[in-house]
Amino acid sequence: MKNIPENSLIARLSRSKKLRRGTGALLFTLLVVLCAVAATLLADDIESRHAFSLDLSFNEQTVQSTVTNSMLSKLDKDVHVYMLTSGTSEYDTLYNEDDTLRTLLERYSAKSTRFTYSQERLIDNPTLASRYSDAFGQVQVSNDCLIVYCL
Amino acid sequence: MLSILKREIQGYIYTPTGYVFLGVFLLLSGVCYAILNLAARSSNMLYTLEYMGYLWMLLCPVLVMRLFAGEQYRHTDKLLSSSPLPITAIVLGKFFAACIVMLCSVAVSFVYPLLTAVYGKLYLAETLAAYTGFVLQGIAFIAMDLFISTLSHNQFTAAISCIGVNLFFWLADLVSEAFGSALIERIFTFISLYRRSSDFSMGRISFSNCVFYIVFTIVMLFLCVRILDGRRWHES
Repeated sequence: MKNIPENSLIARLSRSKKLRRGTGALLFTLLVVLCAVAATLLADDIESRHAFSLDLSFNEQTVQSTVTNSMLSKLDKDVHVYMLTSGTSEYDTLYNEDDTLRTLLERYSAKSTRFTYSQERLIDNPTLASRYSDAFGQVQVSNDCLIVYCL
Repeated sequence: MLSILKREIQGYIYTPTGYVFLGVFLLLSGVCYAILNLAARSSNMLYTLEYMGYLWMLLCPVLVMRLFAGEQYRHTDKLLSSSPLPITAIVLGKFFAACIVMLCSVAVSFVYPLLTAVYGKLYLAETLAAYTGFVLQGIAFIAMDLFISTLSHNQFTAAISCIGVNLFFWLADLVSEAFGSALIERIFTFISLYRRSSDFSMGRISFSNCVFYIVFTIVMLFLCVRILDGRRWHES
C-alpha cells in the first residue's frame, strides 16, 4: 500500500466510507441469504431422512401401519423400487404421477436404510422396461409401473 | 412497532384498500367454493383451498402496495426515515398490519367449511392442514410484496411488479423447463411456492415446507430492512 499514491483511484476507494459500508452490507446480506438456503436444505434433508410430516388426510394415505413398520425394520436384504412414470418432462414427472405414492415410498425409505426408491422416466431410460420385461417373462413392464427389486 | 401497526391498521380501515381486498377475496373465494363444493356436491375443502391459494398472488399486492411505495409517492417516507424508531420496528409494524387484515379475511372464509359441516361431512383435520398451508403462503406473499414495495416509488408500479414476481415465484418450476439445465431446474423447483404448497393441498403438514415458508418470510423482511437502512444511511 505504501507504493500507491494517495490521490490514486484505489487509495480514494479504500478510504471511501460509502464503499466500505456498502460492501459490508452486501456481504452481510449474502451471508444471511446463504444461511437461509442452508437451513431450508437441511430441513428438506431431515424430512426425507426421518419422514417429518404430519398426515391429516381423512384416509391417512401415507401413514404406515405397525405391520408395515415392523416389516420394514426386519428387512434383511436391500430392496429398490423403480417408480416408472410416463411424463415426458420434469413437470409431468412432478405433477402427473401419483404424488401420494411418491410420498409413501419416501416414508418407507426413511423408515429403513435397506429400502430405496428412484423415479425413472421411460423416455430417459427405455432399456429399464425391456430389461425387466425379459426378466419377468410374460409380464410386460410399461409406463406407470412399480418394479420392486430385491438385491 | 405498535404505533406503526396501529397507524397502518387505521389506514386499512379509513381507506378503501382493506375493504377492496376483503370484498374481492370473499367474492373470488365464494366462486371457488360454489364451483368446487356446492355445484360439485363435494365436502372436500382441499381443492377449494388449493384454488384459493391463487388469490394471494393477485390480492397481496393490493394489500401491500401502499405500505412503502405509497409513502415514497406521498414523500412521507422522509418522516419515517428520520423518526427515532428502528427500521426493523417500522418493517415489522407494516408487515403485521397487512398480516392482520389477511388473517381477518381468512377468518371470514371459515364460513365455507362451517356451511359444509352443517350440510355435509367435513374432515376437520385435513381442512385445518390445508388452511395452515394457505395462511403460510399468504404470509410469504405479503413479505415478498413488502420487499418489492420498498423498491418502488409508485403504488401502481409496486402492484404490477408484485404480481409479476408473485407469478414467477408461484410457477418457477414451470419456467425452469425452458432452460433444460438440471441445476437450474433444481433451483427453480426449490423456490417454487406452488410446489411447496402441494403437500398442504393433500392434507399433509410438511416440516420442510413450513420451514421454507418461515425462512422465506424472514429473508424477505430482512431484505426490506437492508434496503430501508441503506436508504436512511444514504440520506443522512
